[in-house]
Amino acid sequence: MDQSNELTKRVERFVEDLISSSSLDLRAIIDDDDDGSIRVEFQGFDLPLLLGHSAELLDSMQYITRRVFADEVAEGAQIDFDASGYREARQIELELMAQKAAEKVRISKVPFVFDPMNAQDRRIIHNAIVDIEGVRTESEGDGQMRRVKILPAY
Amino acid sequence: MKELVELIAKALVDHPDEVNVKEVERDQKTVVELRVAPGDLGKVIGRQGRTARAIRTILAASGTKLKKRFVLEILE
Repeated sequence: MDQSNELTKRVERFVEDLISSSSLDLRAIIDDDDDGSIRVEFQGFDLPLLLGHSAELLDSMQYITRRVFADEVAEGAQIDFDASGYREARQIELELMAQKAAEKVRISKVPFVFDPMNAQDRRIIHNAIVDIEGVRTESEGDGQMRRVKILPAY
Repeated sequence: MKELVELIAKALVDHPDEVNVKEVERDQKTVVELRVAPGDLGKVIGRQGRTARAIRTILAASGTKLKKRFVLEILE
């Protein structure tokens, strides 16, 4: 067994232990890429609990797992948690929100401030705005309160 | 709930042998007391408390399932 495969097995074991010791009705399906990235896909009765509140539970489990295996994943590789296509759906939702807000700012010239978001979500907003003329983005606030602002670009 | 916090803490720290978890019933809540080696405190709290917050989120979800309220206290 090669090294990355060994790591995948250990991540799988950890996630399964996490699920069973937290009494969650979930199953994890684990897959790895050639670059060493590991994808964890959840199924089961408790998906609403996992994905509610902007997937706070999914993100928390992903964060803990990333911390635990931080020193072992290959450089440039990542451990990603997902369920029911949540990440892609969230990206589309954020891009639509960004486009709508940008249009409003472009016409009104009044800045628009989003609710606080995690780094991943903020990046999606920034990327969605980059190619829209007449507006630019900034981030403000610290830690959990960091939020994206869309401003008119003069 | 002891097992859940123990599993996460032991996986995060440098000195898993010094991880100690105790459950205490207090005011209709279950307080989960987590003790780690002084040098490992940062590992279970994390930058800007992010790791501790993630542990609390998982604990809360578990509480929802078990219809109980869990509170995590991190002690040195």
